[in-house]
Amino acid sequence: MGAELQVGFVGNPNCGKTTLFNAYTGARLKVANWPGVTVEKKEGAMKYHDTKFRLVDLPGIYSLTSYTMEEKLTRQYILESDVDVIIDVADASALERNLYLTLQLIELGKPVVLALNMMDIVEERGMEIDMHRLPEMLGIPVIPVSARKRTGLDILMHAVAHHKEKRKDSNLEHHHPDQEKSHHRHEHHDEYTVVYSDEIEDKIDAIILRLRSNNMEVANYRWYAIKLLEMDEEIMAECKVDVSDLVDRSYETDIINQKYDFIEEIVEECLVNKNKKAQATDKADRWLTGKYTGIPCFLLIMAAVFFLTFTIGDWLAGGFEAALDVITGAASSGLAAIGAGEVLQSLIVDGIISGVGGVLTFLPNIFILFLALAFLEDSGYMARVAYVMDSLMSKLGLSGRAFIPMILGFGCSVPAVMASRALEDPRDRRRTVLVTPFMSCSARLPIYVLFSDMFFGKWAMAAAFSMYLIGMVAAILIAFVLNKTDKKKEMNPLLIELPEYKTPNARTIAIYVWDKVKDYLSKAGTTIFVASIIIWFLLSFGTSGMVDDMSESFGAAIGHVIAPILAPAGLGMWQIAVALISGLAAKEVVVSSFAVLFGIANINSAEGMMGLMSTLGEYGFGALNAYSLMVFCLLYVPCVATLAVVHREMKSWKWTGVSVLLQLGTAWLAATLIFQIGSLFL
Amino acid sequence: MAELIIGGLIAVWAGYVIYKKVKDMKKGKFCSCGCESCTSCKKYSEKEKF
Repeated sequence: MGAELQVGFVGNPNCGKTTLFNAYTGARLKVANWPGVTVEKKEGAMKYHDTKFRLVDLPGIYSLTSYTMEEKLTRQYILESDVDVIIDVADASALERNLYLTLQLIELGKPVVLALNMMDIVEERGMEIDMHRLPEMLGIPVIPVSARKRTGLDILMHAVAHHKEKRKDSNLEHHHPDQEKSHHRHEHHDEYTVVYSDEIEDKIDAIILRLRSNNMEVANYRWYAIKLLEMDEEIMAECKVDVSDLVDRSYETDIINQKYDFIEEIVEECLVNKNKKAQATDKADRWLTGKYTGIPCFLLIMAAVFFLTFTIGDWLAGGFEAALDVITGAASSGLAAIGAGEVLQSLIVDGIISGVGGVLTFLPNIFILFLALAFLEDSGYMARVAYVMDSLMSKLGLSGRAFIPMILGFGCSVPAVMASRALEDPRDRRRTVLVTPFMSCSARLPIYVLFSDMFFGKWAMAAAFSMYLIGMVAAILIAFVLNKTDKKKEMNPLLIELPEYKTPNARTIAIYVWDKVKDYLSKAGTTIFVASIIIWFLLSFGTSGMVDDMSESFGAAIGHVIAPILAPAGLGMWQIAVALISGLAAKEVVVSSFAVLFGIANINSAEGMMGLMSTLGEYGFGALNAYSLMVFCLLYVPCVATLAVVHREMKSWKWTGVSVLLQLGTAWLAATLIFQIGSLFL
Repeated sequence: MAELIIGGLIAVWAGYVIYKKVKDMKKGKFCSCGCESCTSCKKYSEKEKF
């Protein structure tokens, strides 16, 4: 058995690194058709013939400078780890942009293999890449692959295994037809991929000589010298040798320009039919990202998502409700048959089955929501939402970049908060972490489905959809206010690559949806299971032991303390206070709490809803109270998991506290305003 | 007897869930899921292919 080879996947954002990594390792890491999905280094392993490979998936970067967290992480990994081969994954359909990083990686001096991904799109556009000339000009192996269709994977790993100790394949062949004859004393053209102007090459040689004569040992002298000429902050701080007489100014712009000159040469020679545009994408974008049509299109698409979530989801939920009725009946008779005591019967039927089962009946709605979101992400539309929202957000003095984590928040707040790492400015990052939980995560969907179906009849869908709009508006307004209070504000323009629209990949969508369904089922069997038991205990026991009347229970005692605070929002019932507190474990628990609190066996069924509605009606709880409750649930403190990740990202208890208070305050204020103003008219 | 077994199983499962949650949180894994795509999971099991 050979030694283990460490292979790093490096490339521009959204070029298919994670899809390729998943294909090799059998992992199911999240992939999506937009940049910035991977924010952390991920490791996996595989075996190819007798060689073991440790594969490392890195966040997407456009260059090896050290400005963003992803760039720092990737650069640090390449420079400091024992990576044997770098697989530079490049989007073949955007070769010009991807080659800049390729040239930087080659310059680093580590063995590089270029994986030209998305060759299927290149073919679809009628373009061709000269696979003989490209490796000749770059001096590294170039392997065409399609990570989605899983073609070229064996050949790529074969090339990696054979290229592990080679820094370049053979002498490079450059023509440089327009370039003047070099007066530089060394002929580098068959040695290095990128050869700079005489002025820069002279300086590189002088710096290398200075470093060597001062016995400064570095892994790659040429790369180090180039970085010194670029006045790279990290390298300048690290360099112990004085080169200030040689580096009289920053040569960064010259170096970038000369790299792009070479890329132009490559594209000119290797890319055939490059002027054929992606016409379908352009046509669709005229509407979907248009100045006046972009936002209305986004709202229409989201409305369609919720239409499907309600109609198909509710239709599918019928089967789940019937199954839950059967389980409840079977459990009751089974427990009676074995002579189970009153406490155990109550725990299982009123606590666990009502709580967990009630939440499980919403699974079809969750399934449809995620199916639709997966479709939008993989088609390439979600990246456009950030672009479309940028114009609105920049008018409010905010960066459109912050909208990317916010969109992720439609799924789950945990990865959404973590996605804020892609923002360069720490203040931007903090603002985004603070406002992302206002976006309506999927865990809140059962609350909307239940209360809007109960109280809003034919307007149920509109009521639920309005929650998503209120969440977005609240997040944007609070970000705007936070921005106004920030004295050191600076605008970071949105630079986002709009990927080509493509037919969503069935496997990617299946993995995404399955992960979410599994997550929901796992949550029902763990968090919601335990929460239901705790709620049952708090509502079934009081100071005098087991109680028949819940109003004498521990839960009621806790609820009575909080209920007066919620009264101005029309939520002054102790039961609602208990349900809201329990929602801290997971937002779905609010629904299971209502099932346990009001003794409803099948809360999502027509009978269950009628039962709950009439019981709530006895307390004077109507449609306005229901809307106020939905708004409060939308805006108040997220689940414990989100709070934990907020603390980890902020690295501060103070800011975690600010986040909690901000959300509680906003939720109370918004719900109170809606209830009080609504009461004037209804 | 059956009552004791059922009650015991529920107690053991609930105890295990709480123990696992606390352990995961301490390790920095915040999601309730065990899915590989979770960005709060740093590593996952090695799999051999080919």
